[in-house]
Amino acid sequence: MEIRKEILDILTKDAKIANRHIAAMLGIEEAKVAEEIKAMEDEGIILRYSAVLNTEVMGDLAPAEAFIELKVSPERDFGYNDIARRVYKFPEVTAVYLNSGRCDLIVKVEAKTMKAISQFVWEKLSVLEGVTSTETLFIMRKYKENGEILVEDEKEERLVVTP
Amino acid sequence: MNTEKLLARHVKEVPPSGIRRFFDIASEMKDVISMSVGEPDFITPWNIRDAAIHSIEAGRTHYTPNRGLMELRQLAVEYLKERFNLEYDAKDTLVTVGASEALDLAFRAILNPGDEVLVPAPSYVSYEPGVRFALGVPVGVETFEEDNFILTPESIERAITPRTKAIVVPYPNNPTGAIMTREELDAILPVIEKHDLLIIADEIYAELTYGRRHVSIAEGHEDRTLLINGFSKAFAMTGWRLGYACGPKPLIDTMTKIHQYSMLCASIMSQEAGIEALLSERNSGYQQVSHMVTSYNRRRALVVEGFREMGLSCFEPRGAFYCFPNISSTGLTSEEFCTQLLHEKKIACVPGSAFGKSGEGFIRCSYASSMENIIEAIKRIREFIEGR
Repeated sequence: MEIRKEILDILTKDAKIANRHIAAMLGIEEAKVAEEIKAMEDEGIILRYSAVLNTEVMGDLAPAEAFIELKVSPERDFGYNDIARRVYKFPEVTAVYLNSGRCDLIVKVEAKTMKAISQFVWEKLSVLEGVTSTETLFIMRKYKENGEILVEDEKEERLVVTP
Repeated sequence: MNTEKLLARHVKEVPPSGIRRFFDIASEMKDVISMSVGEPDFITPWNIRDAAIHSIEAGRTHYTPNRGLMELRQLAVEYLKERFNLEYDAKDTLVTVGASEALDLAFRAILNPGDEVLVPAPSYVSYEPGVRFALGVPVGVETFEEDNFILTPESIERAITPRTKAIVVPYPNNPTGAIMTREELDAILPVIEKHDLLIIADEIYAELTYGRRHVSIAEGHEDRTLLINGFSKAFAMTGWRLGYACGPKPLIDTMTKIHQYSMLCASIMSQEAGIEALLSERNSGYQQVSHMVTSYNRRRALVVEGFREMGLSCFEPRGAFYCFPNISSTGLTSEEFCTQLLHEKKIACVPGSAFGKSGEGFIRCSYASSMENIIEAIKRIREFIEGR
């Protein structure tokens, strides 16, 4: 299990790293690395490998994003999971969380424009049965995402050679 | 005016650092991947930086007591107790401007002209000049790859003369990455005790060991050991220039005398940052330290494996963040190897000869560099060797 944790730690920082490098780092056989990765893929632990983007420097390439806070009234045979399911099935929805606090579901939505997001909220989310209110929080600037600071670069300023 | 004539002979006689010479060449070239950096590639953890900023905002901009803030000294000895089972007193602890100052003070405090200090070789470039500036005589004690670069009682015994006063014990070692185990330390202690030498233990890399915890030679021998440590490597705080020395009272008192007339005190902002470093790490169970160690350890394995795959003999480093492969099979001197590697492949490593004669035949390759850089550097060094 410890090996899996280490492999995941390395892969989540750099998914493109070669298995033989992972093997060298952990002092295990390359075949063992391949085997564990395959197993974790089969078990659904590793879902896919994707690029991590800095939307702050993407300009028009970046989509509009918003958090939508949903208050819902779960009823018998119609609980949170059911409402959540009808929310997360929309492709515009990139994340859904059930959470404590003043709203029940936090939903992250992505679309080409803010207008498209607004439209999605009033046409699709607010009308869902069980949804009692929505509050839309447009993301205006991202400072940090996925553990990466997006807005500044702490440059390495070490001298080339030091004792 | 002939300024040359003014310069003190014993200072002039000390050659400039071999590392410095190499730095001058490397820093003028573009797009060099540097594997020659002797400092962490981590930036100081934010909470530590934040503490220093707060202390400035709160107007803490004055001198501190010569020996340093009592809170810091107290935390430092508690830290040494908790991490390395050392028994030192905060009263006999001196906060210095980096571990380097502590070394300099130690040599100046103990040496009469002509007194000798045993300095393992290869090792950090400052010991020998430090002894010379204090009018002492550094005496090299060679260590060898086949002995895992450790000190042995025989080699120490051979180097001792009636004028020998102290021995520098710098483990984990820069540049070899060697450590010494309890047994290996116990083996050299009798000869040190027999000749009544002071031990100057430079343990700046104490937190950075792999597979096993660092054992201090000072453990159980605090009364004859000047323990030098600092914040640069363990907490990624090189630029703060903060270190400390703990030791026998008369020695610390004398070092403090020099320190109070020359340096006055370490900067208060750095001392405040040091307090935060020790407190926060203690409270978190040394989380950031262990995160860094894990990260160095992976890179260490990658570099060692890389050199061995090239067919070079590479001693397995167990501490610090250096790898010290033997390049003598290439037929090049270490200086030739590094110069050609730099010009042909734009990779900067440090020639082993910069760390003393016995470093000849080796290069120092720092793995405190990004994974990408390491992988690329290994690839290019392999091309360099295969292309010869």
